[in-house]
This record gives sequence, structure tokens and C-alpha cells, in this order.
Amino acid sequence: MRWLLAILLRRHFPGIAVMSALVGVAGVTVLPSYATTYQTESARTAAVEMAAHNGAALVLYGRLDPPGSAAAMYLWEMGAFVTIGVAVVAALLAVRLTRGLDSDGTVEIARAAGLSPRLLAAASGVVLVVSAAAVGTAASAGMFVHRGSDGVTTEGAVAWGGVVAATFLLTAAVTALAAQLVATVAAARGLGMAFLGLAFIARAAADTTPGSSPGGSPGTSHGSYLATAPDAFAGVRHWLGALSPLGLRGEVTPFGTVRWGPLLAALAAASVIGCAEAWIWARRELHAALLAPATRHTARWRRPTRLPVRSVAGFLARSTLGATLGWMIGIALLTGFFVGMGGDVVASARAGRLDGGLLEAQLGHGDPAQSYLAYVGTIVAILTAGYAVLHVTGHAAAEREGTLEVLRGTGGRPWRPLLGYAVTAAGASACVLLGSGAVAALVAPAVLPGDDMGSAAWQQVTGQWPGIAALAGVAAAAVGIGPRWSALAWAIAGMSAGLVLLGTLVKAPDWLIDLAAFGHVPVSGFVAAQAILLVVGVVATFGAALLVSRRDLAA
Amino acid sequence: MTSERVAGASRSANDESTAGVQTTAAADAVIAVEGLVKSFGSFRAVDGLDLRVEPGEVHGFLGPNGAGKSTTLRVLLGLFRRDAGSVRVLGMDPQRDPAEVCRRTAYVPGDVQLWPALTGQQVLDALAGLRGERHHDRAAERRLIDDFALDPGKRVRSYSKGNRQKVALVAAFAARTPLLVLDEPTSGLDPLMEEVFRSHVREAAYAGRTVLLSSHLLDEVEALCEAVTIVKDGRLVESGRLSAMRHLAATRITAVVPREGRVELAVPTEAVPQTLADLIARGGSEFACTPATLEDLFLRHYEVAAR
Repeated sequence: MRWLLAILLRRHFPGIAVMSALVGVAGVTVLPSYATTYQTESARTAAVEMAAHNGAALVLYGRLDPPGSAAAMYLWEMGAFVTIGVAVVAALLAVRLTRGLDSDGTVEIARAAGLSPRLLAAASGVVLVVSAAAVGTAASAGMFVHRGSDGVTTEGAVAWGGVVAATFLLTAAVTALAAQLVATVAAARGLGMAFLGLAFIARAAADTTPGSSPGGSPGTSHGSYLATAPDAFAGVRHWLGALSPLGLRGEVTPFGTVRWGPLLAALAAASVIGCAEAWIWARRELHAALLAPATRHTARWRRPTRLPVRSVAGFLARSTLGATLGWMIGIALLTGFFVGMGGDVVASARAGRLDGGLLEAQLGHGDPAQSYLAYVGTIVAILTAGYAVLHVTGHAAAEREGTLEVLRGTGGRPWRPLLGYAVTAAGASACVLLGSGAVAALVAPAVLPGDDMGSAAWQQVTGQWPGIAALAGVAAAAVGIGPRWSALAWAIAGMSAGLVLLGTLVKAPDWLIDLAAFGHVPVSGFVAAQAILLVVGVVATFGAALLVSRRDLAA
Repeated sequence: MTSERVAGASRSANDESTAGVQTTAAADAVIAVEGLVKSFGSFRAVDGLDLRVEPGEVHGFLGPNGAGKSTTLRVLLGLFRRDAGSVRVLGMDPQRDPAEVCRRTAYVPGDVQLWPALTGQQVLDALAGLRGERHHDRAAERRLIDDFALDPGKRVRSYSKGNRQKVALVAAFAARTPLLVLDEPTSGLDPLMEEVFRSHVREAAYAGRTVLLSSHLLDEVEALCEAVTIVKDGRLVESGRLSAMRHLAATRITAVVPREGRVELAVPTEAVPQTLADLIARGGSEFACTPATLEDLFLRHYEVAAR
């Protein structure tokens, strides 16, 4: 088992190291900004008041205990993003370490070498535990450097690390169990993401339930968002929230009154689910799944579906249509959700109750409604850019897998496939933004005060396209250098997202924030920044074509 | 015979884009490689290789694992860039014009990977569409699907390795190209399908198409190829017509000679009559005379250093 463990750890070490470093650095660099923003107790009390009365804040971040410290504020806002990000990585890693090993042949080789399925499951489990420990330790360390100030205590730092690790482990365990039930990596990934979606909804439902309080039981309201009597399902919603891995942060309250019980319960639950997963893995055949996939075999009396294409771009557009539609619908729904939650945030901002933090950093300038739409546009653009970069770096994956060799073997210039990937990414991103823009334009006038909110929402969402086109071009250039360089595209997209979301909060210079690919949407017309982004996209794509033509196929 | 096959190639290729280059290529080899060098970092995968494939020929490309066969084939298609040497495929330089070389060459890679979410038919449609419908023979595709007993309605993810190989072979044989480059094309095929494959290679050769066949299966190469090139460590070991190479290789003679018992000799082909006469003069009986097989040739070169 040792050799398999060594292989798996070596394979996933870069990802684990990057995730841990990001979580640690977030604590080290962003927490002082909260201390600067919420310097007085009155400022913190006002923020807690806002949190308790604002539906959008409750849905996005959860509840916040009074009186609040800078550390508690950090955990409330940034902690929400950190736990969601860690949970997403956990789900993806769990799939790669279970169904992924089955589909890439590792399980077959390991079993042929005499390794029992139980040991295989144990090796995967060890890698997940090591990853959870690494990210938890990084989260603790990121807070621990501020020990003694900003409300950071040793116990709180340890508890926060525990929350991050337990969130990771619980999500990974549930996804690994789901991966045993379905036959393909894509299906397992889909189940993992669906579980995370449900976990978020359960946490949000519990936090918006009247009469429930953080870390408490139903009925201990402290002046909640909905100051009504608890309904018949309040208890159920509270317990659903308590069961959600994303609700663990609110249950443990690391920088409030620390409750270790939920943390231990989550770790115990992860262990039990992990054992159940190992039990199923040990008893199923190679490649087998409890839920057999539909064979989708075309019956003999039916003609098989044809795929008439003439270009690589056409082929990619047709073959990834389902995935593009999925992203389009998912991001459009999220857009509708975010815009729909905007009424309370804008009202709070207009009443001066947004005092510091991420939201204030985003909404603190100009008209709050317009600023909120710009914020939503940025979030939508970040998600769409994720899709675009994923699509373009698909060229690198195709190169490694060998499908690109088949594609290139049909003729066509060497740069055509990469250009096809870049063009379809840009085109599909435009479709995603148009769909989301339409949803935003429909929802915004109903919930946001002000004139012409529909067209403002449309503009703030669709106006982000030049930035995404630029990132698609940069991603193509990175792949043009070589498949290994596709990580560079993710790094640039990640830095852009970090700068535009946290730049103001961490007081980064304006020129640096302006380098981000997102947020360059003019109030009216066409601006130089958009033109520059489009030029960057076009030049990078041409550079990519040149680079890929002058190197070997990575086969 | 060769000129007839070239004429056949022009007819079967049946496309105007090939005609211009075919005229000049017909006079020369379809594939002409001289002093090819290809390195990956400090590792020299191909080291001064020469390869010549004549029009209408089925040419075997043999060598042990890691000899540089797949690398050479990828250079021929312009997928890899050469470090030194000259390469002409169908009269073109694949490094300068990889698109045209690939369009006029049907290629089956050594490890066929396809798109799991597509059906076999959709993969065939896509490959035909990308090459250009006029370079693809739909009637031949239907016949090949039947011959290879391929179910094109299934998703690629449910295909075995052999079925993925069949999809690539159907696409290659149905392509209207004067050249086929096949990298270990029968790996994963059952014996019945191997026979179907052989019949289609013969048919392609009869139609005037040139075939470069990289293979480990010596009986397959022996059954199909008129000429072979043997490589080892990226270098040429032996190249030429199979009949000529057999002629140069030793013939095995066994006989029972009084007082000496069973004797076994390996002699050059031209020395066979004299050796038999000597054995008869010594009262020998139970003669058996076996010409050199490709396996003998291959194993002989496998053991000696490449030149």
C-alpha cells in the first residue's frame, strides 16, 4: 500500500499545497483589513445588526454573534468563501481518488499487483485526511499569526482550523460515497456538486429561519431578519443546517463561544461515511456501480444520431453543447438568486448600515443599487471565466489523452484546434452572459429601487465579456506554450478574481486592481479598458496559434 | 506493377487536390526520409534514420519497443518537428505543410483515444467532416462497419479497446487518401478481425494506396508487406524487399548423415545447392530445407548492434 500512497500523494501534492497556501495567506493578509475597518465596538455592533436584518447577508454568509470581533467578522464573510472553496476542492479530489482511480486504470493495476480493495480505499482515505489536515493547519496558522489581537485566540484559531478540516473531510466522505454509486467520473462529480448545492441551501435555510440563532437551538432569537414566530418546520430547517458541512462554521463559532461538540460530531460522521464507502468499494466489482448508467444504445430500428461538422470549432461547439447549457442554466439561476437577494443589501447600504467588510468594499462607491449590480456582474464574470478557462485548457487535456492526435490527423493547420477551443470558449461565454444578463434584467426591476434597473443589470452582466475573452486568449497562450502551462491561466484568472473582490478591502493600489480582467464595465458606451481587453484577447490568441505551431504535440 | 498501382491510386484517390502533387510524387517515393534526427531533451529517439516507401507498396516498419517507430510516424505527419534530416511525404515537407500531408494521409495512432460521450457513428462523422466529405467514402464506411462488426450506435465510453481501434480503422480505410499510416493497428483486435484487417490492407494496396504499417506482429508483416524497414535505438538496421532480405539471410537445412546423426546447418541461399550436394554425397537422408523467416531476420538484428 505504501507505494500507492506515495504515488497518490505525489500526484496530488501540488493541488493540496496551493489550496493550503491560499487558505493560509487569506487569513494572514485579509484579517488585518477587517481590524482596520471595524475599529470600534460600535462599528462592529452596527455590522452585526446589519447581518441580523439582511436577508442577502444571511443567505450568503450566515449569522453573526454579537458583539463581534475582527476575527469573527472575517470568519463570517471570508470564512463563507473559504469553506465553500475548500468543500469544492474536497468534492473534486474525492472523485479523483475514488471513481477517477477506477476509470484511469490505477485500481486495475493496483489490484493486479495484489492490493485489496480495502487497502485501496484506505490509501485514498489517507490522502483525503492528509489534505484535510494540511488545509486545516494552514487555516489555523493563518489566524495564529494574529494571536492576541483582532479577537484572535489560540482556541479560536485551532477551532477554525478544525472547522476547515472537518468541512473538507465531511464533503469528501459524502462525495466518495456517492462516487461508489455511479459509474462515471462526470456523474460522481455531478453528485458531489449537487450535494454541495444542497448543503448551501440547507445552511441558508437554517440561517434565515425565524427564531434560530448561531450555535443555539430554535427559539433563541436575538432580533432576527424575519422577526416572526418560528413556523412548523423551523426545527427541521435548523437541524438540516446543522447537518450541512457548510453550516459547521456557524455551529462551532470559532471566535465566539467555541462549541467543540458539532466539530467532533462532524469528524465522527465523516469517519462513519468513509467506512461505509470503503465497505462498498471492497464489495463491488471493477468499474461497477450500484446505479448502472443508461447505455444510451441506439436501437437497431433507429438511425444513430449524426454529427455533421466542418470545423474544429463546430465540432467542439456540438460536442460540448450539453456542458455549455448546464453552465448557462446554472450561472443564470445563480444570477437570479444574487440579484433577487439585492433588495435588502441595497436598503442597508442606503441606510448606512453597511459598515466595512467585503460588501461595503464593493458597494461603498456611488449608487448602492448600481454598485450591487456591478458586484453581481463581477461574480457572474468570475464564474463564467472559470468555465472559459476550463474549456480552453481542455486542449491540454485532449493533448495528453490522445484525442487531439486523432483530430490533428484529419488535416488542418496545427493551430486550428487551439483557435477552435478559444473561439468556442469566447462564444459560449457570450451565450452564458447573455442568458444571465437576461435573467438579471428581468429580476432587477422587481427588487431593486431606482430607474432603469433592468438595463443596468443587463449591462453589468454582459459588459464583462471582453474580460472573459481576454482570459480565454491568455489561457490559449498558456496552452500554446505547453499543456503544463495551463495552470498559468488559472493563476491569472484567480489573481484577477482576488484583486477585484478583495483589492479594495486589502487596500491594494488602484493601478493593480485595474489590471484585473473583471469589473471594467462602463456606465454607458464602449470604453478604452474594454477595447484593451479585447486586444489582449486577440493578441494572446494569435500568440497561442504561433506558439502551438512551433512545438511538438504533447503525446 | 508499380506504375499500374500508382495509376490506380490516382483513380481511387479520386480527388483533384491530390492530382497535382501525385504527378511529381509518382516519380519519387511516397515517403522519403534521410538522416532523420529527433531528440527529446538529451534523449535521441530517432538518430539518423533513413526510410523509403515506394508508391503502392505495403511497407512494414519493425523494431523493438522504444525503437522510435511512433516518433518517426509522428514526424511524418508533422505532429513532431524534426531536429535534422529531410522528410518528404507525398512530395511535401510535413513540417512546412502538415495540414495537407495529414489531409492526404489516413492515420491510425498507436493508442486510439476517442471522445467518450460521442457514439462511434458521431466520431466517424466528425472525422469525415473535419477531413472534408469529398475525401471520405460513405459507401465504403458502411461496408467497413459491417465487415468489422462495429456497432456505431454505442457510446465510445462503452467500447472496448478493440472497438475503439475498429472506429479508427473504419475512418482510415474509408478516407480517400493515397497513403495509410498505421501504428500497430491490430492491437486489441481478435484473430477474426485481424483477418478482416488484412483483407482491407490488401484491398487498399490493390486500389493503389500506399501503406506504411508499423507492427510487432511478424506474421502479419510477413503476410502483408513486400518491403520492410527494421529499426533499433532510432537507427536503421535493415531495409529492403522482403524477398531480397530473405535471399541474403541464412537458409536452415537439416538432414540425417551416417555416423554423424542429425545435422543442422544455416547457409546463405546461394550455397544451398552445393551444401545439399555435399550432404547427399555423404549418404545423407531426411532432408528439410527452410527459408529464413521474417522472425529469423528480426531476431538476428534484435541481438546485434544497430549500424
